[in-house]
Amino acid sequence: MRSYEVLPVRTLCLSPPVPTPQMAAPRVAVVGAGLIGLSTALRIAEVNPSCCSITLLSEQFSPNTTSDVAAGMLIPHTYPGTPIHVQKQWFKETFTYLFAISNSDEASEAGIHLVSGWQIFKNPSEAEVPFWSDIVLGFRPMSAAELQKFPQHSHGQAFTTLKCDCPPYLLWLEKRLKANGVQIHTRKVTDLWELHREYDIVVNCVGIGARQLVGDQQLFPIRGQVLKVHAPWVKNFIRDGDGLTYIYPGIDSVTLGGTREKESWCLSPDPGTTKDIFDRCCSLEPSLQRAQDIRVKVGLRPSRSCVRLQREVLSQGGAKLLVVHNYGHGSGGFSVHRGTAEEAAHLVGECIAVLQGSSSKAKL
Amino acid sequence: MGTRDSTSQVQSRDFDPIAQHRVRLQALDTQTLDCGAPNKLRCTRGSVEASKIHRGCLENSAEPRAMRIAVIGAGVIGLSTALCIHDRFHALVPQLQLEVYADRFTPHTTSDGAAGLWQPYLSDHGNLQETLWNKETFEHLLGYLNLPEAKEMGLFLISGYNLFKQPVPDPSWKNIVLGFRNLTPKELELFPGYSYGWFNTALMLECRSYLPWLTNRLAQRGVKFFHRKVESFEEMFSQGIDVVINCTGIRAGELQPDPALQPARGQVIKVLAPWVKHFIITHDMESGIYSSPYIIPGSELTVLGGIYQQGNWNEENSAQDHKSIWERCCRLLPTLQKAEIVQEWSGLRPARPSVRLERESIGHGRLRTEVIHNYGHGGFGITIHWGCAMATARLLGNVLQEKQSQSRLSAAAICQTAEFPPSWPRATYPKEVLENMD
Repeated sequence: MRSYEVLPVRTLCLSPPVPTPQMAAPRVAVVGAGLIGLSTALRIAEVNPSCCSITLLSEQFSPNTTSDVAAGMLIPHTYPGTPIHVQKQWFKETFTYLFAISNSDEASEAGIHLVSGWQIFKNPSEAEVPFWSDIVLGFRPMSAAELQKFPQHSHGQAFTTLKCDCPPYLLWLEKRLKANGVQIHTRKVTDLWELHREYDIVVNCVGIGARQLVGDQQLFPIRGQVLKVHAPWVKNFIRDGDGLTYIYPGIDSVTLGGTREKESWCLSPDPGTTKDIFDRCCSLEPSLQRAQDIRVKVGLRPSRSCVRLQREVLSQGGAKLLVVHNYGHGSGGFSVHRGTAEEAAHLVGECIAVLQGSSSKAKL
Repeated sequence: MGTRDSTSQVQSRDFDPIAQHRVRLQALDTQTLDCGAPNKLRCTRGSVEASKIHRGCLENSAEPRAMRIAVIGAGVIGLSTALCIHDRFHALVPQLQLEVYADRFTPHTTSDGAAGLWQPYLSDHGNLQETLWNKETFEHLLGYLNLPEAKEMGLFLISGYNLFKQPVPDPSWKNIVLGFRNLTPKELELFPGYSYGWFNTALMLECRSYLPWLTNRLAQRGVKFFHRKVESFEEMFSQGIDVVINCTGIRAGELQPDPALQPARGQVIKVLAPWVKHFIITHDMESGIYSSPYIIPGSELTVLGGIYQQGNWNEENSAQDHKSIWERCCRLLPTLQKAEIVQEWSGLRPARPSVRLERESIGHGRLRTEVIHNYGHGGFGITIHWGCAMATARLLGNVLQEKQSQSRLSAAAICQTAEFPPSWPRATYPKEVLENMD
């Protein structure tokens, strides 16, 4: 099978392709029902409303996806392989989109809510102003009085951001998909080519599964273990700048984290790690010692130096399958999901144009 | 010598013990004991022997006569004042006996209905005393924040918004709360109709947890609780109470008329809205404090309010007020429409132009007794409670000191005039005194 990759060209204004009478509507399959799969499928449906049929295929659905383990905080991760202005654009689009939902009467159903808090540092050199500081709300350095709560930390940043609680957000996305006519099927896809007869375009949003599915060796897991506890008096988030210890209050539980174990594929909770996470979080917020109903979860962050957002053409014996990849978001999936979904939807639009171009050529 | 019903010519409560004290000192070598009394009117407490004698003398047995302090009222003001008094005096005044009297205990007090947000009114109207008490309260509570028992106290940090329709001066408490700043334009987009505002981090102190916490602490220290309505100050004094601390809140007028004290009725709806993590308090400068909608998330329920009715004594929930609160809060935060309503409650804020925190002597001469008033905290009782408790305790300290001096003076005066037998049966001396006698 030959395959070649097409570099994405992002145009500012791509109007949705109009289906030509000769060509049946392109059949699009989105593989993966985590945050990326669901939000990408939704964006494709929104951008290409009447010109293609969309089906979502996945082996796992909420609450069993990697996205369900994450706290869903909009605090970006920096991808070394992507220009900062692009990451900033993705974050801005995502924040704007979710901000509007949080302000609407759908907020509670979608699980989107504002949360304020602090990012604290032991080393002043780490406390640089991040690229996203003007996108979150009210970003400023912490005052001396605020820092007194954290005697082991010398600097900090206070801001207000958004949190996407899962499962609610994923379930809300599924509901929106169905309202947009997207079919959803449980199916394990072992090879993208197996879809070439039923679909014209496949959008690959399988996250960590891409290591197996497409053999991407640049993709590796960073294992994260978290605790979800009942501590409803915790209203502010606290994040240690080292990214290892954090307390994120959600709607029904507080997520305590965490770990960053490179190349670990182990999905079983480790009891020693549980105790370590609990102790680290209690040292930042002592009242957590009274937390109840502790549940332990493990997720494998689909890590990569940059998100793989590109087209690919698979062909074998004259048959073709157009692929759009959208995976490898690592720790930053929630922060950029709408932005990368937007870009993936553009790529799908390009694929549709290619298909229509081929079909008109075929007519000649 | 000594029993209470021995025939003495003077009926003062203080006569017997002090007279005995003087007699014993005459019988002993006063220099080695360094007591100082009766000539100096003061017993040097630094001396162990002196204090033994002092204690031993106050009653006709080894037990000192109790100094009974009664706190009336078991809301946040009464219980915190009682605890502060106990903290401050139980070691200095071993005979201190603290008692709490109330007809309503948690969860049926006014304090229990309040959301529990620490936030003073917008302006202190130049009442710097009250600003200081607010600050003392905030700092006192901050000290508990990093202890696990903060949870039992119902104490936690919370951030949020104060919203206005026009620019306003910064409040007196801007440097007391944490991280006070103005709202950015993007934040104001969240609140159509409001063009100016503040963001800060403050404290929540939920009385449904705090009052039981205070009660447990008091009970552990042996403070007695009495569930009954006190009808008058005289009732207390006739039972042998030495000092009354009046923390009766809105019903202080029943013990002593006070036209300055008026109810400011409030009503709240408590809903299940756990996605709300910030307090949102709107202000309408024309209508006045708390008459504009507010949303305050607690540890379990979110409190919706915005009712402030001067002069209304009705503690029943009003359907009209319910509608007003619900509509205005849902307009402020549309997502509340999906919230489940769990409870409704009305209460009477004990409003007064300023807090009444002062001593008053009741009666005359030997029957003079002291009341210390601590009521009239309006809608900021939780915010100001600990500062007021400490101020009340200071006043009590003055009272106790005066009582001590008084008793020396009156006893000395009495001793100089009264006749008493020059020698008392030896066996009736307390043990400690016997040990020190030749």
